[in-house]
Amino acid sequence: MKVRNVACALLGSALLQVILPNAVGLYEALRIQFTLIAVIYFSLHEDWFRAAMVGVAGGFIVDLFSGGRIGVYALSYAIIGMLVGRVQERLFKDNFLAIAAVIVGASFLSPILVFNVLALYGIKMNYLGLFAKYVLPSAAANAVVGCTLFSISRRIQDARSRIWRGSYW
Amino acid sequence: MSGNRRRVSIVVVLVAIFVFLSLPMSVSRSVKEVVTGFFSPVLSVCRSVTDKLGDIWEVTFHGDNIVRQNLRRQRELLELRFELAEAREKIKQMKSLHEQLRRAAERGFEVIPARVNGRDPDSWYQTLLIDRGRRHGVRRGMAVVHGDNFVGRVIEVGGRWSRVRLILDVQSAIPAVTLAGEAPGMVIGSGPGKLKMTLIKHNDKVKVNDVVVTTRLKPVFSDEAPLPQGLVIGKIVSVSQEEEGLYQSAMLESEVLFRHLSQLLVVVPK
Repeated sequence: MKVRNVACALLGSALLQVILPNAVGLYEALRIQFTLIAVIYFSLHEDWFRAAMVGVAGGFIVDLFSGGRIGVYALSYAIIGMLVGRVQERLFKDNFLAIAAVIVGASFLSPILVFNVLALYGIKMNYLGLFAKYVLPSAAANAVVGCTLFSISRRIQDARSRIWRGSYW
Repeated sequence: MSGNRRRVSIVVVLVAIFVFLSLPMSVSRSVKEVVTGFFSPVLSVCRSVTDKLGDIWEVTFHGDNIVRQNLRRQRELLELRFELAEAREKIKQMKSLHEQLRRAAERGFEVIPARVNGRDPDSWYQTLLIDRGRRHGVRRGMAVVHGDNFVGRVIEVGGRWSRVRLILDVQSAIPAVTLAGEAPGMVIGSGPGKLKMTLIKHNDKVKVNDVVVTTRLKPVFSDEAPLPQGLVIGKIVSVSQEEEGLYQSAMLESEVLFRHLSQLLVVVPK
């Protein structure tokens, strides 16, 4: 996977994440984490090391656009990328339920990691309240959007391989 | 790359992340200023494009069929009635805003109108990107209002953009006072959508529906603007004793619909 493609996808998804909540008057809790979805997408196709690097890059970009310290999301996404990179070899990736489970798991893990890093700086959040109100709907939205994007990407890849085979024969 | 080298690389990256995390906020701010400044025009263009796309969507999907047009007219009529009611409400609000601006002018404030270009990528930080920056006279620490209500303070300033930390943010702490009993306290963000006034003395009288306003705060840093006093933060909806019993705390409700903020005023103290 080309570094340029990964960088463009991560940057584009981060910009989308900044612009979309402002442009579309969605329910506030429905923040779709496009960058997290992009990190998971690349992590599902790479080994744990590269997946972690993609996570660092994606998190770093989110950090630059967010109002907090630089490094909070980089750390969180790096760990998520690494875990997904480890898991992906044993995952049946043709099954969208498995991919949805990975996205939901990552959507739950990301705030836990972010909250723990913020707690180091004395910023405390009400885990349970925020989980029920924000993490659950966001995780569900991430899973739906993620699976849709993965499906589109797979169709494009299938079409490309069909064209390639056609031209070969 | 061999297994050991990979492990070393990942440790190096993690150490680098921890170094970034331990950097002072001023350094983080400088790095972000460069990056957000670079993408600020992109965000402005995207906002214009999304506005235009909304118009195109309206014309394309709501204007080709007579029946649909008829239904649309009916809906428009209904909407216009609502809009009329809203307009009347807005006139009331405008009068109130005008009054507030007049009072602000009396107190020595000017305002800079700004549009919201983007929001924080995640729900945990409550910040906004606005399209006014240093070139328009915005400084760090300036108060930002919507209508009559205080919504936050400017925390980062670029050439043509600024970042506003909303009062809902968990890192926000604003000195405030109740209008009725003049009980001082500190309004802090308690996560998305929640405001809490803490450090109210045990003896001070606070009750539900008391209006809470900002008190003057002298800037800590030389490049920071002072926080003006008298900007409305919200109304008290519940009061509770803190566990230790030394202080009381109160939950507040702001009139601002924070997720629908599109235009704001940055208050410039003269």
